[in-house]
Amino acid sequence: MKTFIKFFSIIILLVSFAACDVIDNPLKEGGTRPPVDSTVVVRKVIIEDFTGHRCKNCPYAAEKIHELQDVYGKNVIGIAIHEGPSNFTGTNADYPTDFTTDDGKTIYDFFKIPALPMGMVSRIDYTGTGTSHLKTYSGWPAISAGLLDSVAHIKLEALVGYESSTRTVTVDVAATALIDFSDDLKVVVMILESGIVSPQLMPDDTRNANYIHQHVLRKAFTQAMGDELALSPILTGAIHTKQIIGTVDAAWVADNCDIVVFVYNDRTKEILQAEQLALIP
Amino acid sequence: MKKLLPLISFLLLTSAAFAQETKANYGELHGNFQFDGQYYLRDTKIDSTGEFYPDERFLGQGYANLIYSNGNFRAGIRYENYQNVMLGFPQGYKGEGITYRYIQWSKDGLDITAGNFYEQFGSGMALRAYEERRLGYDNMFDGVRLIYSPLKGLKLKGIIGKQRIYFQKSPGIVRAIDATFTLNDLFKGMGNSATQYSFGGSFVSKFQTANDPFLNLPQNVGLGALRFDIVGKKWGLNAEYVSKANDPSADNHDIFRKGQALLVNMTYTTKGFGALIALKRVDNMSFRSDRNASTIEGLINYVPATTKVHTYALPSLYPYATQLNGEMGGQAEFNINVPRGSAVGGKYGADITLNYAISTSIYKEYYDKTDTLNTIKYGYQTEWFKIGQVPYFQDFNVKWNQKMNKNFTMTFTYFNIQYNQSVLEDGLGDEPQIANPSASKMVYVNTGVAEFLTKIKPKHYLRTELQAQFTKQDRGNMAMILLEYSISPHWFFTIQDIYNYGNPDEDLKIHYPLGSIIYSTGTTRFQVSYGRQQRGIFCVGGVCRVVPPSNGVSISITSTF
Amino acid sequence: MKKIIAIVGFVSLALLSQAQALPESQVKNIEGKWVSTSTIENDGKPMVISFWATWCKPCLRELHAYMDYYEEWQEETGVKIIAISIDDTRNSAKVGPMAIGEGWEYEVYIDENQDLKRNLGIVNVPHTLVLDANGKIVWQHAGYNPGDEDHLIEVLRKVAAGEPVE
Repeated sequence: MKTFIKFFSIIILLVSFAACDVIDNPLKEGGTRPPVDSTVVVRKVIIEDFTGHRCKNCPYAAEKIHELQDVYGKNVIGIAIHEGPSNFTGTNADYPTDFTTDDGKTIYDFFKIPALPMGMVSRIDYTGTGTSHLKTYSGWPAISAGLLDSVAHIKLEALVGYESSTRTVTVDVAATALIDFSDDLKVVVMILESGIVSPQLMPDDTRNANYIHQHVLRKAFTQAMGDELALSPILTGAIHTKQIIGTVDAAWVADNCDIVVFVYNDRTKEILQAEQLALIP
Repeated sequence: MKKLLPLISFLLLTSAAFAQETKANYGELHGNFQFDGQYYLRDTKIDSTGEFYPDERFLGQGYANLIYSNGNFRAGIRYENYQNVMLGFPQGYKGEGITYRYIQWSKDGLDITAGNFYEQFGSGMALRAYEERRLGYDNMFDGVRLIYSPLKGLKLKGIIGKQRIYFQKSPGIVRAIDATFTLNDLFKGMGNSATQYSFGGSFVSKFQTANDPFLNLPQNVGLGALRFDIVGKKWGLNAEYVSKANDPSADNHDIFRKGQALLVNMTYTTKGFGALIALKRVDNMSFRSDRNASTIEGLINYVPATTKVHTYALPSLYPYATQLNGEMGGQAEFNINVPRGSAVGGKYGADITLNYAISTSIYKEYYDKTDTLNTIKYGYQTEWFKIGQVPYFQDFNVKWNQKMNKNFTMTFTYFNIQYNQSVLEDGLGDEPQIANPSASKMVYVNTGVAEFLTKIKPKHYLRTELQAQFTKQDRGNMAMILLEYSISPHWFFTIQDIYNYGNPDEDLKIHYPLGSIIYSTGTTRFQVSYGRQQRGIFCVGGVCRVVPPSNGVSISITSTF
Repeated sequence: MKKIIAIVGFVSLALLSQAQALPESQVKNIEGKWVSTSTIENDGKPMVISFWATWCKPCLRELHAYMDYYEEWQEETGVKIIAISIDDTRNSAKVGPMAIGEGWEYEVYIDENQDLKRNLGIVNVPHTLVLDANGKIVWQHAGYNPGDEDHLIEVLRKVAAGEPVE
């Protein structure tokens, strides 16, 4: 027994002392990513950023999405959902724009967002009981990089048709299963507006009257938690299509709008594939 | 695991039944049970839009613990249930399950625990896994712990495990060792010394995989601590110094700066007089087993706040919370007993407590934002002995407690508090406050509390509290009265009202009444309350959570066996 | 169904459990020395163990109230009062100055990470236990009502006389 204890203690000691990484170069050499094989389907990532225009730390989260889009371009899709306690999202003389939406509230309530800023990356790690699906913005780069490197299970194609006289949008979605699925799939189609100039409370407690709000969720043309796309079992190669029609509100600037489509697993809630297209190409 | 519980209960039940008959030692059993619930009422005065009013109407949570010990063996289990959690409680607790289970065996200076356990090294600044059920704080380990005393005066601890975050495990693996040397036991000559000398050290390391495309994040982060403790007949001195390697995290905005902390406590005691002086300096000491966690999740260490805890309702609206990213300060407390029979002390004597605490940021000079390499490597430059530029908190309070006669005791307390609301509630960083000192929203508070305990007749007592809090900021002035009638040994009847007459918002110049009845018998306690409670805000590390105002009927049942 | 069995199990165990000793735990005395709870004894006479904290006002009322009667109780029953603080390192350095500064004559210990409190199943402070001549817990009470000391002396008298309590 005594020799076992000594042996065990020494093991713990060695393990512990060896266990310390001192980093000399914190920044990764910003290199070019290896060229992506165009025949490989990339699993695009959706980052849902729950935010508020009177939430002073929220610009840090928005900045994180921009950093990722600088490197990964269209493979990282940001959605800013303005929702939360009224002291962060409410309107007053200094912050007159109401960015909240019913659809945003439905998503916020479903995933039980506890604080701002908070986000989800392709809604991974949702268990129904707990907070593992909630990701603070400092974790978004690592999680996004991991998902982008993973194999896509759905190939998504979308076509957007916009009729400016009636402000009607028609979205045709075609999802091809690249593996077998034993769960139901749902599809969500959203319209986002970027380039909205409106005040935002900044981290240094000052009000930036000319802050540019990007990828703000305006409406989901499907139900907020999605419309049924395909029921299980789904076989590899199966193609499921859907047509969604919606209206672009007069207050939104059509030139600055984007349509986001994503397909998710209804049991795990994980977003399997996404696509973003400009409303007006 | 759910299937094991009824089986274990059945086995213990039968063995306990046997024990009663045969009077053999079938071990001992302790446990407890707590349930808290609230039925919320819609109150437009405190919540005009109904945003805080829960859809469920009734929120409740509870837990039950069972610990069995027999000779060298001990085992325990806990079941927790959240359906859903009450307003203001961490939202991550959803659902139910067995969250705590362990077996422990100890003999001849060797103690092995497998399963869930709580542990503290030294002051906790290196490692502390503990529970505070009222706050929903629980960062226990799930793993293995070994405690070994090879000789009298030396105690070694080794642990390895993952921490709890609500119903999941934190992704990081924590390994740690700790050694405590008690010199009085190690050296025969010192055995009879009146002064107790001990020192110790810890090393803690966490491992979490890293896959960030922009930063070379360290996967292993180590922390080392050294401490000593000298206690004599009158004097006492203890100190702990902790040093942490580069640990970029959500808390410190991904800087690779090392962390350091120092905590020193000096005490002097003699009959009728006790003094404590504490000094602390903390620099970048957030240490979590998940670098992306926030608020109360995954904290490996515990940096104690060096300020006094206030339990009177009005001063407790302005509490201090340790700023893990950096703070410095200290506390001095004097306890004086005015002797019985003296002129001032009267027949029974009196107790006076004087307390002063201060906390500021550490002195920082930030690197220019364009100097990205130094900003990421160090964040800022600092000097040990320079006072920080941003005031966080200051508290001066005096308490006078005196029993006047057999039937009457009075206590008077005065508080003067300076509270940096930008830091303690809004999560504002140091940088904007250093650049522009008027960005700090300071709240200056003066509070007076008078408390009287009167014996009405045998077993019947009335306790009265009168509180008045004056401030020109935040919620403005408020006054409170509390009446508590107790009948020994079973009953408490309490009624209180807080009137926020000085609130700058006309609509919030309202009353917050609250009434409760508590019935206790033996170790079981039932409490029913009805009333209205003010809002609060809770910020840790830049992420803020609103503690909503509420109105409703709440019940609480606790029991121990 | 499983939950019903579990609840019945819990309650029955509570009812059937015999008189128990203090669980083996390590606590620190105000001289800074770690002692095992098995070494806490009173030579065959009763002991009162009161769990308190520097921030717990009812606990301080309880300990002040006992101070008024301690000498009498000691003469009558030989009782020893042990005050165990559950203060963590935020407040544990104050325990010595407070206890000695306010003139308490009890044996004072600190249960710094609340291991003893947890092993006894204690939920809140104040919580008081009475141990008999054999070190077995014969009486417990959660909370403190002013005037409870009158009831406590009754319990101590019974324990000192070797009679069963309740």
